[in-house]
Amino acid sequence: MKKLIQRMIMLAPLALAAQTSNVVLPQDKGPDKIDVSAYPAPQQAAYKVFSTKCSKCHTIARPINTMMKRDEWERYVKRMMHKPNSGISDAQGKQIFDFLIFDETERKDKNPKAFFPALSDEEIEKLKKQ
Amino acid sequence: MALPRSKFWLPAVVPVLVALVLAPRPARAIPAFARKFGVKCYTCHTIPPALNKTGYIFKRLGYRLPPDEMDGTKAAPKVSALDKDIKFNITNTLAVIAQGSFTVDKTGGSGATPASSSSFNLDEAALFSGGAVPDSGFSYFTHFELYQGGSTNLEQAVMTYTGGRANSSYFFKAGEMHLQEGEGTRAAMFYNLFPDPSLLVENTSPTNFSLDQHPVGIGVGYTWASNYFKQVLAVSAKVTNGLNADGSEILFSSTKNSKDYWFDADYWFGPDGGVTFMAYRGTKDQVQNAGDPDEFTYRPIIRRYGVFGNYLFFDKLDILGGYLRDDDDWQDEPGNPLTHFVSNGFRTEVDYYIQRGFAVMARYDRLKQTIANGPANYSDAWNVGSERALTALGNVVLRANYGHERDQDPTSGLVTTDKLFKIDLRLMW
Repeated sequence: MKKLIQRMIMLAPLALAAQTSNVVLPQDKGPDKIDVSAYPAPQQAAYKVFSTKCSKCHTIARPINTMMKRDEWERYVKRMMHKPNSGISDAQGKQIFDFLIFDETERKDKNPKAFFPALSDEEIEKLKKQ
Repeated sequence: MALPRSKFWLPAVVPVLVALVLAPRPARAIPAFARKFGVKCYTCHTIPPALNKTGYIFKRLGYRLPPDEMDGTKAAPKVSALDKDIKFNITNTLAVIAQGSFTVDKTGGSGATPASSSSFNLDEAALFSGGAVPDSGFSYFTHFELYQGGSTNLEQAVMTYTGGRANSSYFFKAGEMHLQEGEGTRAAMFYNLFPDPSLLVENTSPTNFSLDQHPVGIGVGYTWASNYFKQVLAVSAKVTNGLNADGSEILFSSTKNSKDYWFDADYWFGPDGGVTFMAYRGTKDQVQNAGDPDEFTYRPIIRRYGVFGNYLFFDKLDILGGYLRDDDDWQDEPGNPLTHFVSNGFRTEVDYYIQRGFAVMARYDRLKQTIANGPANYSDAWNVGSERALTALGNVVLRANYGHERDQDPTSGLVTTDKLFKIDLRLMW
């Protein structure tokens, strides 16, 4: 019993430490959901694909709180699709891209101060060096 | 009402099964590489520690993330240029893993006294350090067991140089490393979703040899990748010190100067599926009839040939299979001619990912073993289980597993059986 208690005590700080957050980008701290109830049905369906696929490797808050132009979204969606294990098919990539453009127009462009502009490659490199 | 003896583990199982299904996923925790790159564990693992294709490439590139715009229109980036601007941070190079479990174990058979036990266990507490050395092709990886089975030991300490470009790279490495890397498919990896490795790779032969070892040596490898890493072809080879008579690794100088050889070829295809061929040839001193008047030592050649493969269907259903042939020189009595110990082993596994970080799995392994063309002996093991990540990042994993193993000793023919129920919680940060 004594050994068991000792082992539990050893594990306790591990459990506490596992709750620690280490967020890198400011976007990650923003909301992680979009109210799509007023969006057209195809965009509501696309939102499900987006929130499932795009949360695999990073927080879903990251794209939700980022503003980008059409060509930038296109580039990013392609980059993510081409990750070896993205699990995003061509059709799903198109669906996600269409959703992001719709959401950009409907939600972000109308209230740009609430969102973060995308970082350029140079800014990302600068951030990594900090 | 008292439970019948055969059901005494039931009260422990029910809350775990409920927890597996209902467990909330509120916390965030980031192990070293995930911390470094600001990503989740699922970038490189289906569920840690099972590697996916990205994880495999990440490792082959010396712990550098594969570029995502490698479309073939321009030269792929140099390996030393990947992630080169990420500032060194000690917390991004260190990781600690701890695993605790509760087990209920029942053994029996003609070769063992029937026994049953239950216990809480601290399975493992380990410290890892790894990563790429900035502005160079070098990388390092160390794995130190702070506690495992009551002891501490260094399992791996490897320095690697990786050169070339992201789509055509090579590496040299030296140090103490896993013998069987077999990472071209999850079917050949030691640790996939189940808590214990497949009987096929874990089994110890009558010559006291197991693929589950960490010898000291050197290794080389080459990796080719098509555009966007859709296909990856890799070969690896290593030369290592052999083993002591008891099967332990020779870590320092020894009068046994022979070296062992290991070769592996991996081919990843499709979104997440691959095949691996591996071969091993080595020697070790083998003490026979220990303690008897006719005790003697001979040096058998030990050979292993394996083919393994898996394919992940619809990002959900993972089918795994493998074959391993053992062929060891065998001598019963001094002066007798050499014969062979031969084992043909098969494994099959089906894993279904209900959702990200939540899987159910089933596995079956079977070995057919003969010595000196004698009668065949059979060992088999089946396991069913489930595991679920309790954090969004995937670094706290709860797992439940029930397994039944039946081993028939190829030298004595005696049978031992082992029924094991295990719940474990694995913390990684």
